[in-house]
Amino acid sequence: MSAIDMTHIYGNKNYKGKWVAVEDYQTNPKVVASGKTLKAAMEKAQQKGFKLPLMMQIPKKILPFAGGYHIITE
Amino acid sequence: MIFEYFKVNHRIIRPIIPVILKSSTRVALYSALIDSGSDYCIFGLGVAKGLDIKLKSKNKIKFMGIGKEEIEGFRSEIEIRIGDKTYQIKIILADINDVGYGILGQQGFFDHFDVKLSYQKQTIEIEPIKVTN
Repeated sequence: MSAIDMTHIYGNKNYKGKWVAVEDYQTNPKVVASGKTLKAAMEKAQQKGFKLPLMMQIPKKILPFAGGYHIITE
Repeated sequence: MIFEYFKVNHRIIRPIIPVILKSSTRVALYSALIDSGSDYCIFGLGVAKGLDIKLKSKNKIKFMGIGKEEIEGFRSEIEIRIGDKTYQIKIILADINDVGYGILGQQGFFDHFDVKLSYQKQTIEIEPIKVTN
C-alpha cells in the first residue's frame, strides 16, 4: 500500500482556500465540486448526483503541521 | 480497518482518515487527521456552519496549540462514524480552518480505537475497543 496521492488537489491553485468534494478518493481521487463553504461545495456535488463525497478544505498554504491541542479552561 | 495516508505534497504525507459526521439535519463525509498530541477532537467552524450546528456561549472553552496564542472554541456533541463504528462524540468547534482537517485526539478517538500508524508502509490501522468509561 502507499499513500493516496492528493497532490493534484492540494496543489491546484483553483482550490486554495476552498472546500472541495472528492469522489473515488481511495483509488482515483477527483474533485467533482468546489465552493467557498462546506455547504456550497456539498450541495453542488449532490446536484451532480454525488450523494456523499469526501469533503476536504484546502489550505491556502501547505505548511508543515505541528499538532497537539491542549485545553486551558474546562 | 486499514486506511492509507494522504499525500498532500511531494514531501508530506499525513495520517488522515475519512469520517462521517451527522448532525440533526445534515451528513458529511469529512477528512480528519489523527493527532495523538491533542486532548480532544476538534473540528473547524466551517464544519459547524455546514452541518447547522449551533454554537452556545455557555459551552465556550479555551485551548492552545503549539503556539502561544489561546484559541476559543465551543463544546458540542455529534454523531460520528469511523469505519464500521458509529457513536456520539464530544468535540470542540473552533477556528482551525487553516489546518484544513478535523483533528482526532485522545478523548473521542483514541479512547475508542487502538491505533497503529506505519509511516514506512503509509498505512493507518485502527481497531475499535470496548469503551469502559
